[in-house]
Amino acid sequence: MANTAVTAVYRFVIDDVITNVRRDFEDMGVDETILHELQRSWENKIAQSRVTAFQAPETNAAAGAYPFEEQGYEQPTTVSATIPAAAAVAAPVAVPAAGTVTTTAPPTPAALASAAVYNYRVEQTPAANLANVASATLPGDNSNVGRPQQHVPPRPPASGNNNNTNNNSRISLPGGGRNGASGSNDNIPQTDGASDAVVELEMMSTAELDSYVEHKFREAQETQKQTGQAPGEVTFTLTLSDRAARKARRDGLEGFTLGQVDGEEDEEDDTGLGSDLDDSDGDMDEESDNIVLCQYDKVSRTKSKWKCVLKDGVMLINGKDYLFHKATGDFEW
Amino acid sequence: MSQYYEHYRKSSIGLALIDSLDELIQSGHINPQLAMRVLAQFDMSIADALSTRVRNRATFKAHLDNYRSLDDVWTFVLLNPIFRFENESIPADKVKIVACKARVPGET
Repeated sequence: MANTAVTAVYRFVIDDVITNVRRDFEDMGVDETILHELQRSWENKIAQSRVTAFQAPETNAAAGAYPFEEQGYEQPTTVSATIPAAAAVAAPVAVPAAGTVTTTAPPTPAALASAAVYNYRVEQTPAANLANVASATLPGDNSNVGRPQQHVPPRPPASGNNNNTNNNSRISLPGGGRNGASGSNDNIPQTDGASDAVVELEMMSTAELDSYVEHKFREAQETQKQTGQAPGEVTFTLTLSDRAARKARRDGLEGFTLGQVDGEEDEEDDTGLGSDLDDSDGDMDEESDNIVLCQYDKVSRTKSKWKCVLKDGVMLINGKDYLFHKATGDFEW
Repeated sequence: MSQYYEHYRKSSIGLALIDSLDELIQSGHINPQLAMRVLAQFDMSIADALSTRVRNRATFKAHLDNYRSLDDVWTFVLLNPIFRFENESIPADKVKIVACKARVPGET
């Protein structure tokens, strides 16, 4: 009885959420099919979890008729991307792990916004025992950092173009640093540009990354001013965080294997969107599948006897969901 | 919006939603801000549903293994609890309860 009521309540919650966020989807310019896909996916996951006799109203035929691939999909909104560190980490995950791979990033919004400027290169570095390393090769011309919408599309590499004022022509021309800069014969030829910095940014926060990148760009510009030579490429290496990597693996991305770098597999959930109630603190967080999420009206204790009055609860017990309006508990410590 | 608790996101239905949102973010169809907006709506919808659409009562007894009260959030780890609904009794070997303070009507 308790369990059958759950289905109706979940139905209500899903419909209520979907109805009330429709406006937000519109405001953000996200197509309504995405909203439908969210609902379908959500319902499927609940049904698959078997916590209740929930059935998604549409069967998987809908899923078949709806090839939900990002191929060719264009997000209608412009996404303002600063240095797309997060995107660079997330985007290249979907490459087969085979030696050094060069790929174009999947068209995540940030990648779409910035694809004109950045080349993402994903390479496998087994020696470092790191799962995947994404190198974002940034062109030396950096005056538009943080404002990708202002970037001009990349020009085709102008072969034989000796005009150093046009740095854009140097994109993905690793040898550009020595292409006959006027009067630069007395310089030692540098084959990959003036400021080539390969740095592991694994542990940096987004803000740190931003400032680091900005700093590097300033440096490159200084160099350019002083030497009159184009700075060529600045290379940044972004390492997939362990968490992102695990998420990617969970999502079943092909050929994605991981070297575990932080010891044994731990149990934390990696949804990335949870509340902050899950701070670890000793054995209180020993993972138990059975959980009751609720509110309390009263908690009292007399010696070792506890009483509590709870309300509005969602319970997951032995793989099934239950709900209660009120619950009273007696326990002994 | 901030007067709604977020801890119901850890329920089955909440985690399912988070998973779905995560996938849409990963594939580039929505951005995280929109996902957070959806979750905020979920906080409201589930709170509303639990307080207005659920009428049943339960009692339970258990051995209290561990407890904590922090920032108006009680956490209990119970051993061998038995949950009794009107016509159903559910034993378990262990359960964790996370209880936020019930809202007093009118209070934010």
